[in-house]
Amino acid sequence: MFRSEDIVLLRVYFQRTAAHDCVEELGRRGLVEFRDLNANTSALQRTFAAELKLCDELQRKLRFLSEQANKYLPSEKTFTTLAAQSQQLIEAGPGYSRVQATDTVTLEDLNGQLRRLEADLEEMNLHWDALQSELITIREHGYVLELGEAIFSEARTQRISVSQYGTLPLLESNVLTGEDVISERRGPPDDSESAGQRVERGQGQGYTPVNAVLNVFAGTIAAKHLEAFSRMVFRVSRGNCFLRWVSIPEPIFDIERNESVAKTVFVLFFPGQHLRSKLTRICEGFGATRYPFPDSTGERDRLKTELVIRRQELEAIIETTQRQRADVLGEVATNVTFWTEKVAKEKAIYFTLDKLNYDVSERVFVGECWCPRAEIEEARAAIHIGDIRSNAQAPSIMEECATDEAPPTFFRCNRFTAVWQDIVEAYGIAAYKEMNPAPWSIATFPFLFAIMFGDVGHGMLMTVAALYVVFRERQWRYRKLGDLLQTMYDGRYLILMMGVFSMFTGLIYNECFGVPINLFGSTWKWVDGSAVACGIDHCEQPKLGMPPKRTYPFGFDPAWKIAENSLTMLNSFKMKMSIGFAVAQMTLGIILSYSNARYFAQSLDIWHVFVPQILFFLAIFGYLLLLIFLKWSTDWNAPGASSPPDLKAVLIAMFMSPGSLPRSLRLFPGQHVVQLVLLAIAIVTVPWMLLAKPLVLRRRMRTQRPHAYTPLHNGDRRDAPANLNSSEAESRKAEPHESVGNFAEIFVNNMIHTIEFVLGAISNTASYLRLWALSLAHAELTDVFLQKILYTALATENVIATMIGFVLWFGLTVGVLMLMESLSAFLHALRLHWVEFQNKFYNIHGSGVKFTPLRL
Amino acid sequence: MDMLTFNADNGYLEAVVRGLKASLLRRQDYTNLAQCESPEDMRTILNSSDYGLWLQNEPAPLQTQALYDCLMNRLVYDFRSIRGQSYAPLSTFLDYVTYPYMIDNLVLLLMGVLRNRDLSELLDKCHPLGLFEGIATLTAIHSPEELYREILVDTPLAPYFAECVNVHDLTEMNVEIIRNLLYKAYLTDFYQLCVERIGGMTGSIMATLIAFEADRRVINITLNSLETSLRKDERMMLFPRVPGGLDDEIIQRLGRADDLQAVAMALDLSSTYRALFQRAAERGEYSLEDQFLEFEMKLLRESFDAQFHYGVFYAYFRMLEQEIRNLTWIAECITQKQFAHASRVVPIL
Repeated sequence: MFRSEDIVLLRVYFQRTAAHDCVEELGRRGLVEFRDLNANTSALQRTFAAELKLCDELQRKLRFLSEQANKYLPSEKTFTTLAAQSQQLIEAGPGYSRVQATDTVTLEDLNGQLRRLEADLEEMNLHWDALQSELITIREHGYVLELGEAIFSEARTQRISVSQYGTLPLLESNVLTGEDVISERRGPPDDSESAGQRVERGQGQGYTPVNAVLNVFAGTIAAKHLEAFSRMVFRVSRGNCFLRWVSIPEPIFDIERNESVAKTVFVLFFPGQHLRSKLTRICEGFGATRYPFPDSTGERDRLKTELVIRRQELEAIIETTQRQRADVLGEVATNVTFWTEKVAKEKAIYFTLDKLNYDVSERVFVGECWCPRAEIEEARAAIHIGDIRSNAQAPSIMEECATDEAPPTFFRCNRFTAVWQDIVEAYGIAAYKEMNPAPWSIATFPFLFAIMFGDVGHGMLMTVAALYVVFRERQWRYRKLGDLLQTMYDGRYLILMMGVFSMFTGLIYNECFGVPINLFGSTWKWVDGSAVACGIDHCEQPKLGMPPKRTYPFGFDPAWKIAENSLTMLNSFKMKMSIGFAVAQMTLGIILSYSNARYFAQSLDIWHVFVPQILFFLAIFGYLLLLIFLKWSTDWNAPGASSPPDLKAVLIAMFMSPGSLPRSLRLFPGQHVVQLVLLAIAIVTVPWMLLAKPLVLRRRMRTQRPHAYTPLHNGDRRDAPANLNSSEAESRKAEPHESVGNFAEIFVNNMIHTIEFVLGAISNTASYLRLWALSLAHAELTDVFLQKILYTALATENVIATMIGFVLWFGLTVGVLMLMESLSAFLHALRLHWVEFQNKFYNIHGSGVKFTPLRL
Repeated sequence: MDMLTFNADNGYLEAVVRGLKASLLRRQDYTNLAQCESPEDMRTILNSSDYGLWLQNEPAPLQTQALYDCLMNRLVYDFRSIRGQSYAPLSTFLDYVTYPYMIDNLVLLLMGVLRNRDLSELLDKCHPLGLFEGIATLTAIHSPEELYREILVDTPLAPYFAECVNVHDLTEMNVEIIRNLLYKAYLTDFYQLCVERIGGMTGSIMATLIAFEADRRVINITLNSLETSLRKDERMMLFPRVPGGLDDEIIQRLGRADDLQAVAMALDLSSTYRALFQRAAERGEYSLEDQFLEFEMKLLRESFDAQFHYGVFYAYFRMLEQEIRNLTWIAECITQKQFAHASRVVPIL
């Protein structure tokens, strides 16, 4: 738990046929992490590029299919229920899903099946779109007829005036009201008919002066183009045109753009043939659709009924199509989860197989993988099963091999510890076998949080909330939670611990929603005629205000809450307490750095890093802590005692005037000598930290250089397949050369670390004062809400005001204190762990890699 | 001054553009791409780049056209999202960046009309950033005057058209002339926008870029008009001139040039273009156009060295466009089995 698990490098030789199944079995158990042996070959040159491409293609098809199913199944519910059913099947029996999803279907079969489905669906969609667009045409035509009629009759009167003053002279009004308008018809079914009619009409009437013809275009256009369209029409025809429009009450679906657009019916009157071609093109250019618009009412009515009949027919067809498509999509919906899972799995397997090396002469795949030592046997079993499944002729072989590379870091976590591990790893991954701060944090993290959040009531609310989530754990595991809830779910155990610890510190501070609890009976009492309270059992002379002999058994006496000097007292206590935890936690950090150095047998780091560091730190801050405790434990009220010294002054005197300390500041005899010694130690340790390590390293290098050997590949390496990739080999060769020389770099590095430590010792200790500050802020805020809102409301003695006051107070307590304040306390605790604690020993070289096994 | 206020409105977008620029393909990628054997292989390589998302929903045998469409969609998406989030002078600047596409589309359609091409086919070829209202009605046009009065008057190109109304009818030659006149007016206007109305760092960076653009057009016009019936004074009229471009002396000489020799002589006076010209002559497979592009990419890269100016937006979209040209070129080469030419691209970074 404190150090990551043993990880060994395994080399596995797979039969070509067995490789796939073996990797699958390993992946199912999530045991090993394969190393990429082809790091510098591009994606194209790898062995299984084709299979991966197939997987990509399949995934695309599946995306298409599930999107279609989502979109077109009669109601969305159906899709979700179908998918949920299949999900349940998977969960119900692992055996079933295994057979269904992995063994029976091969990728090629699946590809064929999906291709068929996709083609079917695309054809259906094409058909569907055609039907829809026809339906839309009919609907639009209906609107054109209906709305155009109004325009037409209105315009008829105006057209006469146009003809009187315009370019059409000498026309009788009966001619105009007669057959002067030639309707423009489009669409194959109408063309021949209309032409026939026109001819017929022309013959029947016997006259229709060509220049007298006012042409009519009727159609629909998207409302947003209307303005530009009308402007263009006006410009092109130089005003000899008459455009009227009415907007369609409902939006029309545009199939090409796949969205609903507002459309407008327009009717356009214009004279002469020469404008016709131009306007036709303009209509095309603006995407306006023109529809046949007969001029006589009877004709229009006939057309309308025709449209209604066609519409009914179409709707029937559409319904059938819809049903067919729903059938196909239903089949898709039931299977799509299986297929997606299957394809994702296969893709992962092929991706992993691409990391293997293919040995051409031996016809085997050679893979290297990291595996926790504890699980080697299971991995062996997995490979055995894979061999059996694939009927391999020769068994796959697995062997351990030595390596000088650092293995990945793997901490085994359970539900409870995982969240702390996550917090630590958000800062950085531990190097292999480096000390893991997470187990320490399990205790310290909630505790530091609780120091800032100390209140029994708030802690209780937090605990209850966390407990609720913990009991819901099983139900919520697979559910999709919101962002906020998911965070809470992930950190449920952390929150639980924080709540419990907050109750503890709340008891110490003696606060419950800001109200002190008088559990054991206050030991102070107030006597008339005295300026200060005095102890219950020690109040012979009230004027003296002597403290009680019997101390309050646990935490603060509730009387402090109402004392005038409560803030001074609490501040002094909390500040010193913060320093206390600062020194304790950082000393722990430094000691952990010793434990690391000892584990890796780096005596240099023990003697020239750890020892001066701990000496320096304890000489100054350890001494400060000692003074604090001394001062606390001295009875300053005892007869003959002097007044308590100011510790700040003591510390300042220690540096500014070494060796001399005014008698009034002394806590124990000989303090000035002790201080002098400690200061001397602190001063000596700084150059020790700074110079010793680089100098020793330099001397070692000098003595080593004359008889330095070129590194030999150990026997194991030579057995390895010759095609170990070259860059790796090079980097391995380059390493020893790099460590030769470079004294300057080591020195600068060490200097930075020294400066950081020495300055950090002061600033980090000061940084822990945030414990005090946040705790103070929390207590004061609680108090303000309580006094100003709840107590004010209670004071009115009005029921409604009390209710409002309570609701307001409770809302603020939850919103501001429980959510915002707790978040801020959490962040500060996080900072104290990441920066002040972990920088003493953790991840100093930043070289850790997390163990990420293949997990299917 | 730019330093104080630039980031208030444009800091985010500048950061976005710089981030996008970092995702452009490198020489190494082009080397890998040039080794592909089918556009499908290109997809495998592009999957690890920013294009992965744009290509993932294309059905399997990837066609060059489909590839181009995907790439173009990405360009348009990038442009629109940046344009959508920009504030005043930058939004105007970005609008100006689209005007060349409008000019190109206009010319493309006019040419198409002259050659009686199908309208929808032409519209598909248009650059999506250069579409304007009523562009499809261009087919109903018969003379430059009509073109101006009926269509262009509503578009931002209207002011640039002033000189073009002298052109009488629409022939292929005249359409070319219209294009060049429009470009001339556009470049002058763009220069004025950058240098005078926006000014500052943007002005100095964009002045270089626009001057280069103008010079390139001057040289190209000269080269393309050598063997044609274009009169020399007409040629001079087409030359876009902005301060900081080619010297008057060179312009005069180019205007009088009769053959390639004379052009080379004229360009001898300018060190930059002499070098480009020579290199084009030496390296057979890279044309002068490629040399120009390579030089332009260098200028664009350099514009990223300075901060607090709009030049990076211009530069990024030019680079992205070049990248699309490169990728399409590679895809074309691969589909036509001309593998040797596939590596002949203009590297961007």
